[in-house]
Amino acid sequence: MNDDPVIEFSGFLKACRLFRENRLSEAEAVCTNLLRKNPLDQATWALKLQCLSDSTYIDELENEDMGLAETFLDQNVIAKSARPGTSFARPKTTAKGVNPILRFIIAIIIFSMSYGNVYRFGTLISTYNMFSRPTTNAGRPLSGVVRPQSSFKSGSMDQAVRTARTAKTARAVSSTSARNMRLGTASMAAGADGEFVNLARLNIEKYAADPQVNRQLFEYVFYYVNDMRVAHQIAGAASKSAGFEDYYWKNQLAKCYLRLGMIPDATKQLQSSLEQRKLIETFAFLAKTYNRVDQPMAALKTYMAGLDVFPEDVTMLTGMARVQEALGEFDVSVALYNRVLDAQANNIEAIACVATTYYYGGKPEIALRYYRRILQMGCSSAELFMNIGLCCLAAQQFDFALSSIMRAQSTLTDDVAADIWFNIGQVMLEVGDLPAASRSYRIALTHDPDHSESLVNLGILRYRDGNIDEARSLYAAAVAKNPLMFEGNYNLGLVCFTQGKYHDCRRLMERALEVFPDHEHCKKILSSIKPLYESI
Amino acid sequence: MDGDQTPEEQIEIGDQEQNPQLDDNVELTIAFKFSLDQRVMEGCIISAVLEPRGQSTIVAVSVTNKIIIKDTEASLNITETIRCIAAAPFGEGYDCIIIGTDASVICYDVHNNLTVFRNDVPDGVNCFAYGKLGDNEEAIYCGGNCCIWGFDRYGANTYWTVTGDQVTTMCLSDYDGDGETELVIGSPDFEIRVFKNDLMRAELMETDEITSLSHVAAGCFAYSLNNGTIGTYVLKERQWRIKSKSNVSKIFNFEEEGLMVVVWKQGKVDLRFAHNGEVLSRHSVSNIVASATLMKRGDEDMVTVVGLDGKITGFQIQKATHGAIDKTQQLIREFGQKKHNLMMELSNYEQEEQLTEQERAGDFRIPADTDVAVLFVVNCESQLLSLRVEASHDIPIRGVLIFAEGLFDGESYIWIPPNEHQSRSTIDIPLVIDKDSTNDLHTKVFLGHVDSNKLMVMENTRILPRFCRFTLLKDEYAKFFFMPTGYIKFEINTKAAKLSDWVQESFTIDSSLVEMFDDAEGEFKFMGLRPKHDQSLMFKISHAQKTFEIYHDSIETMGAIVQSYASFFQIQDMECVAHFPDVFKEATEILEELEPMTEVRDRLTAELQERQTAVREVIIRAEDAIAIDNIPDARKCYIRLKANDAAARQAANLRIFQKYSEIFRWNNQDRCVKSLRRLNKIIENCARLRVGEPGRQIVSSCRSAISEDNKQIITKVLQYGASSQ
Repeated sequence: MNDDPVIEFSGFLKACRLFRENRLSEAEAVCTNLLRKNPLDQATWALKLQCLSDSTYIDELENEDMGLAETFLDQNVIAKSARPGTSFARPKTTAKGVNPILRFIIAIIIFSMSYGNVYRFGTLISTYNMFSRPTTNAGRPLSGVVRPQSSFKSGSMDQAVRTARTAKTARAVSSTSARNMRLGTASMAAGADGEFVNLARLNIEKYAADPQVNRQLFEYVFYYVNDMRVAHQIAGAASKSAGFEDYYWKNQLAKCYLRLGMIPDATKQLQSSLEQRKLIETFAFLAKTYNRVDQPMAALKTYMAGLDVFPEDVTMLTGMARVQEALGEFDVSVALYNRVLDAQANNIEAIACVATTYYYGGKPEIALRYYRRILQMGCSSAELFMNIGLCCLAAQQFDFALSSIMRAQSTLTDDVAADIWFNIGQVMLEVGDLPAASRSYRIALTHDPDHSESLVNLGILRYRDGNIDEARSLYAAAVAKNPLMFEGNYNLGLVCFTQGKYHDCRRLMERALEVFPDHEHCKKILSSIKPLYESI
Repeated sequence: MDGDQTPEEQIEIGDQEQNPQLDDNVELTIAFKFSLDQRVMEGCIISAVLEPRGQSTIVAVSVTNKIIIKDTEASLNITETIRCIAAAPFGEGYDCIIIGTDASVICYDVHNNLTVFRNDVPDGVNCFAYGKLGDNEEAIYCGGNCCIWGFDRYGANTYWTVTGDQVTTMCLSDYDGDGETELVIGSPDFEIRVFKNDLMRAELMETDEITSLSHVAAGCFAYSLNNGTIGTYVLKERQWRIKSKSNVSKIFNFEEEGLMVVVWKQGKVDLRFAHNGEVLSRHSVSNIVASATLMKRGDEDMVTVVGLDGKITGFQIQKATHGAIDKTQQLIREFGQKKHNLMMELSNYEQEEQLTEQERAGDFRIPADTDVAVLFVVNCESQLLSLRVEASHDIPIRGVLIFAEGLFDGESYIWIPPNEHQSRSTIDIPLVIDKDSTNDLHTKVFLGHVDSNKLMVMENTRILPRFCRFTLLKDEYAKFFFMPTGYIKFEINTKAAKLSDWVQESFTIDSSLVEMFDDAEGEFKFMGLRPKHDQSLMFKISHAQKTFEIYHDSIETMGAIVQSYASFFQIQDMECVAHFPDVFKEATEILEELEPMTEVRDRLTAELQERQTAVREVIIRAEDAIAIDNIPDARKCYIRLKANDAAARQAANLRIFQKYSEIFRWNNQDRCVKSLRRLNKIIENCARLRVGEPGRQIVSSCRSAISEDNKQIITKVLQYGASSQ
């Protein structure tokens, strides 16, 4: 037998150790036991609160989920249509006239990074014509990464409601009900004997004023229970008991206001917090509030102010880059991402965005190097392999391209399957294997019946085969699924034009021009229709 | 309704040297006309340069609470109710729009689509003035209820002070000609107040609510009143005023200094000289005017008048093409009139000489040395102040006409005996005075025998003392003295040597008794007269201890007495100890009430927001259900909506939110604002008990105490002054 005494922690100390080792559920179990013995032990109580909230912790900064209700029924935005370039609703249009029949290939690359519960994705879209960026489903210029926030408002509420939403593409109806609620209820199920703290019977004033437990209590209510009203009450009371001089509580109040949709109040709290202490988080939140009321210029100003205090800070630079990208200022955005990379060479979002820019800038070889860099850092996903494959293809390295694509195929998950298959279709098209391409599109559609890009491209193939009616119905389906899609509108319009349905054609072309205001072909077709109208 | 055609009366005070005569052969002509196609809120129109190197455009507030910018299809959406807007050059070479709502001031940069700042003003904003005040940096000044806020270009609060009433209009003008601008504010309590920095410099009493103020020339500002009066003040003195029947919408200076534009609500537009009010040119628009502004088009200034229906008319100034007034002709006509008058007078004298003795006797002439005395008398028994008009030689008084501003309903008072035979030679006219202000009583007394067909008119002017409703208490009426509970105590300034002079000028007092105020010690009791006959006043003077105590219950009157005392002896700074238990108690109560109220308001808003989110969600779900033709589900959603608010019954649209917020917040909000207003008023009153710097300090230290939530100190400051901290 081993005579060495085995030192074993027990009781509260053990719970603390476990918590520090991030073994949250074990720590929580120990706490539960302790609390059963002594329900009035505040330290244990606080620790348990901390365990529970840590298990559902979300980086609020990245939590930009906006439901349909917030987007379309929001009244905080002052200017509904501000000068282009000063509003997310009207980014600068830099798109050049491309023949959309030739624009097919679209691939999406997604990086899921599990850092806490941060959701951050990467995308890549490649087109046949590599000099222009395609737009996303929501009609926005495509970025290197997919972020929840990119679900900006476009079109009317009616349109958004009618846009097909499936389990995968659905946008939440409102942010209070959506992901947050899901997280809340999921965590609730974990606690077997119901809710840990009965908020309705809790003496909020008393606990909120107690500096020993109020932070834990707040985080528990905010992250775990998701009861914004109570959280707001706690933060308010705590801020008051701290003499309105604690920047922490001001930031927490701002978070509550943000969740509740009271943007001006959030701004006020954050500004007051900045007067007390300048923190990166506060600057980022302040910029976020400005983004929420569609004032990107104010957000940029805030980031600049933040950079003055924290030079070359990654959060600030990334925020600026994202805003610039959303405004259509890709050059500025990429310059900023490069600055991010100077400061933090392993920032995946920055690498992905820079790579995307190189790819669309006609430099697939350089893009390839960036994607390989991501791979070297230990990220591997189907999307990444697909992107590498596409880059190789564009760089004429066919052997490597095909093996990468096969790798992507073998690792693909359900949520990206449609995009991967769609890209395979594009590759097949380029190789010249039209039947295989058409098959790939169909597979993509079995994975996601709403994949409008596949519908359009399949339609083009059918049209080439002379199957005009089938093509037409495919285009029409694509337009119905995604009314903002340029290709769908244009191609359907083109078919209408050849069939002599000038009225439909005009309507579709006009809608296509909304997305791509400078498209030469659309304009030409419209101008050729015009005399027909006038001659009546 | 074109009263301004014929000014009923025109008083010119102080004929300054004539300004270099402007080219008066100019007229207003219509330059452009268009419509905003929206109904416009009254008073909410400005012109602003919204882009760098841009042209100035019209910005207006529609009745639907949106901000319309001319030539842009979109309107700006403000969630709170807009009360006023202004433009301030806070951008780099362009203007930002400043929006005053019922709860905050928002500075919005249209060019960059960003909110420069958004500051809470708890009781709302009524008017703005932009400019440099004294030695402060340029800032936007916001007039609220009983207080004025100043914010600089970054939104920092650079200025705060309290005033006696709501601020309805403001302008920055050099009131005293010292080269620095002062803030001139107008209030519904008939007063124009002038602030030098945050110190009240002067109070000018007018005869009606002040509706607009504008700086029109160096050292000169124009004002307009609710009763249709317009006029200007130049270097502390009123220069001229004109009364008309219609109401002024807006006054502003035009082109060169010395010209001003007056736009009347009924649609008249006048171009006048600022120095004498003479009309240079006039024009009109057919619609009712919402407001007007000056807009730059190229190099030219255009008078832009906006109607309530959104129709905009622009006027430009140009050389008169026709109908120009010939100066010489006018002069000849004037001299002709003068000559005619003199001839008439002469013929009267000639006629007189030709009359016979008998004819003269039949005329019931009154003796040549007849005199009319006009004095103030006090009827102690009924505590009433009267104006006694007494004619010598027992000549009956056939009528008295008193003209005094703001003293009577209407501006004059006419006394006529009920029938001719009751005419007496002495009459008493009761004066029931509510306000503490000096007033000139212009009396015209009509004398004549009952059978005489000619009346003699005697004119007389008396100055009504400022505190004429206090008279020295006579011993036999001690029952009318009610010992006041409130008092102030201050040190006697060496300048205030002869107190009797001030007492004689300011109170109703027999000149024979006035000497005793110069005694070294003394206690003087004053009796209050109607209408506030239950408020007494007492002075306690002790030259040995160098203290002066004034006992009186009304803090407003006390403030006025202190101010009058200080200005009479030209005391610059005076601190005092005040004791007004009721007022201080009220202040404490308000402060205590205020805190939970803001908290409750905060919580209510959060709750409301949560509900709103729920409502929005239901709306989307309903839309969703309709989109897929699932009518039963949609119905369910709408029923839920209905449960959320009865107002949703009519339509499931966005407006529900607004109704929501009104119902929930209204009560609380309203009370909160009222309490705040009252608190500001109390601070202002207490500040007025001090003179000069100490008064200013009270305001600023109360301000910081409130913002620091330091309640205990406020009453202390109010009582002992700011230096007591």
